[in-house]
Amino acid sequence: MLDRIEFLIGESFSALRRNTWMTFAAVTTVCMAIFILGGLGLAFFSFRNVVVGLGQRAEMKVLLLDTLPDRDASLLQGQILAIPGVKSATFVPRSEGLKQLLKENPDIDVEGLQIDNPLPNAYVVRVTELKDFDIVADQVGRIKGVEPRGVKYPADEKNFLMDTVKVLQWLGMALGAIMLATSGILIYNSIRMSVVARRREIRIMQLVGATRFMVWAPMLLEGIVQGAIGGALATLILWGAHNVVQEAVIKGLSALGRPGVFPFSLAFTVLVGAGALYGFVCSLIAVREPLQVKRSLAT
Amino acid sequence: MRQQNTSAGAPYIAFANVEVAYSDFVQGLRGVTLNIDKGEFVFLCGRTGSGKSTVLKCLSREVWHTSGSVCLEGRELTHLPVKDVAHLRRQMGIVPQDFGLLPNKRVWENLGYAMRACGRTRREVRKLVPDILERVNMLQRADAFPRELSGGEQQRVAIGRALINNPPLLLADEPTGNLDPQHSVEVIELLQQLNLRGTTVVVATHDMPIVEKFGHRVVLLDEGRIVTNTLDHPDGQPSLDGEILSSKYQPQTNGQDALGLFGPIPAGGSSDA
Ligand SMILES: Nc1ncnc2c1ncn2[C@@H]1O[C@H](COP(=O)(O)OP(=O)(O)O)[C@@H](O)[C@H]1O
Ligand SMILES: [Mg+2]
Repeated sequence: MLDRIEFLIGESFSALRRNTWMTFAAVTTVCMAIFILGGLGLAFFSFRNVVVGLGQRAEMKVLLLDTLPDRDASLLQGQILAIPGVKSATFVPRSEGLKQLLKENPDIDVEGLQIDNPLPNAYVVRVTELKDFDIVADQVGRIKGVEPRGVKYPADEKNFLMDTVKVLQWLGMALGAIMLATSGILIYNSIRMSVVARRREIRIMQLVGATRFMVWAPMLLEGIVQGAIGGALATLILWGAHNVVQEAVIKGLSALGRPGVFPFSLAFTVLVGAGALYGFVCSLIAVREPLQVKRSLAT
Repeated sequence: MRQQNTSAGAPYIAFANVEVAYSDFVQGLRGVTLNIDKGEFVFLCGRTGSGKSTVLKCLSREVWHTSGSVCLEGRELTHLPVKDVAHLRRQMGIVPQDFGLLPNKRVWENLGYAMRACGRTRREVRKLVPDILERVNMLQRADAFPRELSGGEQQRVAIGRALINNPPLLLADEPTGNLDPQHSVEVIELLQQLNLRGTTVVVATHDMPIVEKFGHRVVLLDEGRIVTNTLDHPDGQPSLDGEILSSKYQPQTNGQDALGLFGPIPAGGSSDA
């Protein structure tokens, strides 16, 4: 058995060596396809972290009616917290709000303006999950004592981020699909070339009664190896890309939350497995044809 | 056509009304009925295109017959599933018309490769290859590449490769096709030796001088039909002799007989060379 496996492996690797350029083309395209699709998958998981982070960060400012006495205002906290999806509600008295405003914009000269503190009492409300944001905002707005249209949040910013992610996802998926198809064709071609290059050997094998498994397994193995190498390379590139992105972009937006640690062994297993499976399928299609030709005389 | 004369059961190889249509217009065989017993040595003769190779390919299932029946050892091959073809071929040795040697492999590697493809281990290869090369008298050239060998030597390697599964049946297609008379005799003698050890041998050839020289059973084909079928049986069954062979089958005057292939068998003067 071991001897047999050794023979098959030897056969398919000699084919890989002979077909260097075709193998190279097939492996690189598989690699790119898997990189794009795997990267999307990873981005999806990472973005979940980011989006959750965004949810923690994203807060709405709930402005209260000026007419509401300060004492009643502080009592609203219980009502807000009772709304499902609300993570926290912090009371910001008008004096506190002014301090913050001045801190953020030191050039405003309130004293110079000679007016009273114009800010209302407010709450800063945070949600557990970003998707609940709109519902929560709506419900908070209905609470008695809240100023009409007094719930303020950066809606556009949030939607823009979501839309961008969606567009990127679609673009990536389209590009990945094209790459996947191309790599499939390349694997198919390289296996067909192998079949042609090995036609003498194949004929002899068939002549002396080698089983179909022994005859065709080297070619299937060739496809599997191409796919697997592509998957392995993609994992490495993805790993590198992940680190770069983490360094550059995510660090800048660190407030949004951090992307997960790169799940190297998981990604490696999944992507190499996917590549191998894809290579197997493509080479099986490439090899099916000669099998059918053989049968065509049988009627 | 000859009637089977053995009393013991079914013949080893039995063709009954076998037709092979390669296409609507090209017929390989047009109704061949032929029985071959175990241990026989049979020459399939006939000019190019008469269907010799097709008969052999029906047995090895390289060609599927369109009607009639082909039996080997009582086993009907008509509906043999494709997956069983490999097993069938391991029970016969096939020597193809071109030798089918792998040019980038040495003599022993050619045999070893075929054995490994059949699932044998390296150890078995190391043990068996010298034996087989010895039998075909090629042991001294084991390390040569096919291009370094003469035609006769290449043919012997091809025969050796056909022996790797120790088959009870050997099918050789034009084994002397590219050889000079002396090497032709050597190759047929080699096949004869194997036949003496019990292997059934079927040789397709248009090399009539060789056929005469060895005097085995001759089945003459023309345009996909059996024209003459001689028997050379030890039990004294009267065989059709060369006279009938030559009188019944006069070749049409075309380029073919310039080769002297279809001259009277006993004469044999015209050499193929
Ligand atoms: N693969 C094939 N496809 C179509 N026609 C074929 C094929 N093989 C043989 N033939 C035809 O069948 C006939 C018998 O061929 P073959 O058995 O090879 O003859 P022989 O071996 O006696 O020279 C010939 O007319 C030949 O042209
Ligand atoms: Mg022929």
